[in-house]
Amino acid sequence: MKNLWPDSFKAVDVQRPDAILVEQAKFLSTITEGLLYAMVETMSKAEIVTIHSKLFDFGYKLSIGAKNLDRYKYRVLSMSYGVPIYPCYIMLDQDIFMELRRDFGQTLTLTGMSIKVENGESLVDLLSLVFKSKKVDQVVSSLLTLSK
Amino acid sequence: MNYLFWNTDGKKINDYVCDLIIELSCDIVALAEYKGDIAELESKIKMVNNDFYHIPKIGCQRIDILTKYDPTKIHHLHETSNYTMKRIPHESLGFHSVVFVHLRSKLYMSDDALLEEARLLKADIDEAEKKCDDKTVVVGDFNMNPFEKGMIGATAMHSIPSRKISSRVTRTVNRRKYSMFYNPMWNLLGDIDEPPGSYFYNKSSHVNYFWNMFDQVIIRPSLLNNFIPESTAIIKKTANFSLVNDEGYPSVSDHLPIYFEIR
Repeated sequence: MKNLWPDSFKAVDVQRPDAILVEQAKFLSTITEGLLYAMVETMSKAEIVTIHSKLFDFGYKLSIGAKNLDRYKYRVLSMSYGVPIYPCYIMLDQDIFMELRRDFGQTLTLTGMSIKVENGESLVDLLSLVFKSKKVDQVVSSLLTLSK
Repeated sequence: MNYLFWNTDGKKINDYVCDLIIELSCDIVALAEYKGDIAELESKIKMVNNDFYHIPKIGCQRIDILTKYDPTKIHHLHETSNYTMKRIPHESLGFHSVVFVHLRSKLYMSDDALLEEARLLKADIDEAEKKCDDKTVVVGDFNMNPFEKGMIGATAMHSIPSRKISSRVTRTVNRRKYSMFYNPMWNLLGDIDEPPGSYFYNKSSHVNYFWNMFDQVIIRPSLLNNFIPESTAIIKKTANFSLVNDEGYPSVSDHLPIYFEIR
């Protein structure tokens, strides 16, 4: 029988949203000399449905922890996306959301508290706003004080 | 152990809180929207009770916690801006987890957004319990009544008004298992025992409950034998002060404190 498939396939040339999160997470440990860290955890299907009210294929959450505070974590955001990769959907901690919602610009669409991010570039822009927010600064400062 | 939660509405309430702690022999006190002088409050309490400490705040700035336990004995677990989980010693349980909650007001959040927040909170509690145990108490201002979706829904708080039913621990919906809480606040709805709720709000709207039960405690089934249902109360006075006006409406803060005991 004749091959019905095309001659070749190419992987989509985009950086996955979770890869961007993981890459950024590593920087916190470096700039705090190992006192604090950011972690990216995979969400279960049940957790994705619970948080995003929809079953996406992939879900991750980014939290901040401290080496000296064993089980502590402050959840900064959760993120879900499907097989097309983009758009991905972000739920921010509410104080961060309230602080930044006027800065999101035209590229981001809000549905309730869920932020629709169309591409990797927009995701990087959003993360930059989040990591530089007053709320993240306050949490990191408190954790550094408690870690000394 | 005796617990007190109060949304203080940013009012100066140090004298009231001192009275409440002494009269009710409180071991754990949580204050939402507290804008007073916490150092003054701490020193006032210490005049009658040497061992009372303010727990350092990290990510959840909306709640202040005071307890008889030295902060070094308290473990900080998961938190967001709207809630904070602590692992706190307990005289008979060893340790237990207490989740202090202050979800945003309905004035600033839609019912759907509150439901989403309740789901996030529940998912976080389930996850935290995997690393310790399910001896968990959740207390605070949920800005929802016990009968609203965020308090009842299986993916949300799933807090049931029956000890018998909640003692089943989980409930299966569409082949997925959801953990449950017992919500004793249903017993305090209505006016047989005044006040009819913890928060009074009169609005010009077709649907108006007037009295709401936004301040609630919910308990995991594993703690049902330790929880004293009859102890659950909405506090409207201390020996020296009334927290309601002549008509019975909250007068110091727009919320009344809630109290309960776990032995």
